[in-house]
Amino acid sequence: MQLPDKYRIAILSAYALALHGFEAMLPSPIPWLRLGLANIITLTAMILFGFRAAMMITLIRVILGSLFIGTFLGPSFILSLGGGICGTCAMGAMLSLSRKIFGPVGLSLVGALFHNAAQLFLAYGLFIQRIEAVVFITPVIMLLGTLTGFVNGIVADILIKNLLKKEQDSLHNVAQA
Amino acid sequence: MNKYSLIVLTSLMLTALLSCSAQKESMYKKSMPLMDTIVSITVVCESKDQAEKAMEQAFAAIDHIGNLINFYSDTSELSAINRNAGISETKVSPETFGIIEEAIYVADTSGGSFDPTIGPIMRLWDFVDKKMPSVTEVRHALPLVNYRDIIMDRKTLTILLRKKGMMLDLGGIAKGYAADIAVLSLIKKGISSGLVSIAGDIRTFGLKPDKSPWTIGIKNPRQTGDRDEIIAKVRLIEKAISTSGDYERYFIAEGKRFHHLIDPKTGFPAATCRSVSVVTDKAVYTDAFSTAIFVLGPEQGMKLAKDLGMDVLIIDSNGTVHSTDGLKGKLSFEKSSS
Amino acid sequence: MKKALRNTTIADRILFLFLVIASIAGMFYTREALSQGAEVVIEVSGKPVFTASLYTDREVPVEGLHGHAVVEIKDGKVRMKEARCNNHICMKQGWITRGTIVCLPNSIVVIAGSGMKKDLDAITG
Repeated sequence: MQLPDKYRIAILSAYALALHGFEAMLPSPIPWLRLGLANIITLTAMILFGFRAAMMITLIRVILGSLFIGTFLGPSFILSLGGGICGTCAMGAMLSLSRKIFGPVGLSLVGALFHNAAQLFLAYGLFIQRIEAVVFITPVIMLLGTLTGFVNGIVADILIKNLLKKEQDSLHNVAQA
Repeated sequence: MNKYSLIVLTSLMLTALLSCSAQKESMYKKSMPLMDTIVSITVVCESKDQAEKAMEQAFAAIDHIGNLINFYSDTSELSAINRNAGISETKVSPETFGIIEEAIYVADTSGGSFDPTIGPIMRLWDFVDKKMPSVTEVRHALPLVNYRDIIMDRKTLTILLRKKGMMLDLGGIAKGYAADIAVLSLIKKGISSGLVSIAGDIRTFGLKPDKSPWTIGIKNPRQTGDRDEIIAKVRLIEKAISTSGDYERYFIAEGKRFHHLIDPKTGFPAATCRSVSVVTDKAVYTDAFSTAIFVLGPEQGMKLAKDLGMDVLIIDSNGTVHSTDGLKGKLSFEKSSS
Repeated sequence: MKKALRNTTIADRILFLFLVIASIAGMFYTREALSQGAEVVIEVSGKPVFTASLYTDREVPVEGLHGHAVVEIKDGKVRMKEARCNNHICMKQGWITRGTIVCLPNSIVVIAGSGMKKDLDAITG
């Protein structure tokens, strides 16, 4: 990877961490249900810089995030990690199939779907033994995940457009200079 | 694609998904104390009204049978038969006659391991106040236990117990018989699918609204708490099931368990099994044969079941499980059982 | 923002609608999968007359066919404290955490426990 890429990844990871931390401060009815704001960064990175970059950012965000908050290797860390990896892989797979079918919104939805599904599986397998509880909250989590996924996708779209525009502008400036 | 087709697509998806979860047929369940126990009826029906009417009739039919063969009631036909033992024949209704006929069939087929004339012996045991008979008392009562001493007349619908002191006790078969009658009653009222349970004697017919079989839990004979109440689950299609167990009515005296499944030949509890569950077409047979097979024990009982083409699950006195091949694919064991 | 919305592909929109509809439908479907907590249900002549949590200590007066009866709930257990019947078999049953106590003359049934697990239609044994 080239220096500018590593630089970009580092910056994006920082943003992802910041968003993750910010989000962790927000109250939520269900313990590990989050808005997934950091996924905006992951998604943007995936579209602009590819799967590897996105995965690295995810891993950095989850691991460092849990170290900072103090939940490293705890239940929420495992859920975040599982969800993050699955979501990112799913998005990557979808993207490699075809860039045309889904826009950022669709990708975000796919990511959110797999992220939540993975978390529910892990939660059931490792922590919550009563399947009734899991069955009950699944549709709720899916719905919320869909809505936040949609919004995250829109935001990512805007972000990507802005970033691309900035690149174009700076190239334009360089060319002109 | 334009907006129009998007709307159409969405509506189609909506309809498809909602129609999956909102089924036309629903399950209705009602329970009632009858025949000295809890009777539960579940029906699958489109109309609540029809379901309620059918269940009401079925409960009435069960109640009717309960009154006919109530061992403890002076006004029951069973008591009349017992009072007239060794004296005269008693005219009975077709239902009572039917139950006794089936009881004799089971007695005959099981070589006397199930015997409806076990009344004089059962009298000597009290599982609530923990009383057991002496060997002498049992010895005096045993000659009165013989199903061959029941004289039946089909034409006049009369029953005669040959010897004085003989007593019929239909507790081991009446509930199964009543469950079958209840099912017939439900079917007559237009119900095509349901389940009747009389204290664990269960008859199912048809399938549930989602087209799945009825799932019955089998109690763990050595249950220690909430978690291990059920030892196995069995899925039934058009079958009945009953279980006889040494944990239903019993007391422990001098470290030994004395339970209510008495061997008609010895007058004392049969000791080779903990629980026996029989699966076959009619509840009258699952009820009576589960008792018979319990008394016969794991080897002979298993043989009897196979000879009669019935399926059985036997948990013997060591806790070992024996089951017939017919249950493969229908039976699953719970992980929390011992 | 509006521009971003217009920028979504057909597949995006279909996926979104599908997920929303599927999860809402899923909610209706799983309503039945709700399990009840441990509770006590008292029925007279087949009709439920009282329902309470097994974990709230109380004494419940019940009118049976022959008169007054009292059901007592304490320490997560329930018993028939008093009943007007001949042999008081119901009272001899003592405290139960699951199962039923039946007072036949009064047609009173006390059912304790979290009901059946939802995947079982009946229990034999």
